Amino acid sequence: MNAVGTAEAIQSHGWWLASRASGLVALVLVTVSVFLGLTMSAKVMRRPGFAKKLLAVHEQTALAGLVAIAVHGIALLGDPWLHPGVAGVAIPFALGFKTFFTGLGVIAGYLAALLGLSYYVRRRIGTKLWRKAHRATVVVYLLGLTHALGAGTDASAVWFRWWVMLTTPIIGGLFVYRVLSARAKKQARQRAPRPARRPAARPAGKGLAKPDFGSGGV
Amino acid sequence: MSIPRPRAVAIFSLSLFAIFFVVFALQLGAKASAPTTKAKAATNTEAAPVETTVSEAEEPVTEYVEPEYEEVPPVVTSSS
Repeated sequence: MNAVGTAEAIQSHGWWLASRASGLVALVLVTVSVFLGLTMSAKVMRRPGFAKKLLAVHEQTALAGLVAIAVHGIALLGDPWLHPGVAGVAIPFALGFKTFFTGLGVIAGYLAALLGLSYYVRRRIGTKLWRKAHRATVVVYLLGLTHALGAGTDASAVWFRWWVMLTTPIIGGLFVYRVLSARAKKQARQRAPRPARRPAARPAGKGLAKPDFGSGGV
Repeated sequence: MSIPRPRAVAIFSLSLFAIFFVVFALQLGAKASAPTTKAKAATNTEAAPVETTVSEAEEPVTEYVEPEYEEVPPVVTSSS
C-alpha cells in the first residue's frame, strides 16, 4: 500500500471521501431503520418485550441516519471538484452533476427529515395522520437507493450490488406482507357481524333538550 | 457492562464511516500512484525491449529472382 498516495488522496479528496462514506452509512442506517419499522408493523416477531427494544433501535438508527444524510450533504460543500454550492445541495435538481439522481437524493433527504422528525410532534398533528404519513417512509428508502444507484460512485461496485440484491427483496417482501396483512385485517373487520345498535343511554342534561314543564319562562 | 443503545448505534455508525473512508482513501491512493509507475517503466529504455513492427507493405521481398542473361553470340577469334 502506498502511504504517500493515500495521504495525498485524503488531502485532495477528503471532503468527497467523507461525503461518499457518509452517504453509504446513511443508506445502511435507513435500510436498517425501515427494516425494523416494517418488522414491527407487520408484527413478524412477537416475543414479549421485544417490540419495545425494536422501537428504540428503530428510532436511534433513524436519527443516526438523519445525521449521516446531513453530513453527506454538508461534506459535499467542501468538494473543490464538484463545487455544488448551498443551492446545489439544498434545492432538488439544481446541481449540474447527474441532475436527476442527485435531485432525487435531495428530495429523499427532506422526506426523511420530515417523516422521521414528525414522530416528536405526533400528538400535535394527530397520531392517526402521523401514522398514515409515516407509512411513506419506504419511499425515502426507494428514493435513496435510486439516488445511490444513479449518482453514487460505488454503484457499479460488486459489494454494493450484493448489498442491494440482498436487502431490497427483504424490504420489498416485508412491505408487501404488511400491506396484504393490513388489507386482510380490514376485510375481516368488515365481514365480522356487528352487534345490534341500541340507542345509547344519554345522561340527563346532555343531548336532548329537557321537556319544559312550564317552569317559569314566558 | 453493557453499552447504552444510543451510544452503540453511534459507535456502529462512526465505525462504518471510518471503515468506508479509509478503504476509499486507500483505493484512491493506489489509483493515484499507479500512473507514476507506468511512466517510470516507459522511461526505462534499457530494460524494455524495443519492439518494431513491420507493415505488410514494407516487408522485404525474400523470393529469389533469377537474373536474365542475354544471349551473346560467341566471339570468334581467328588466328592467322
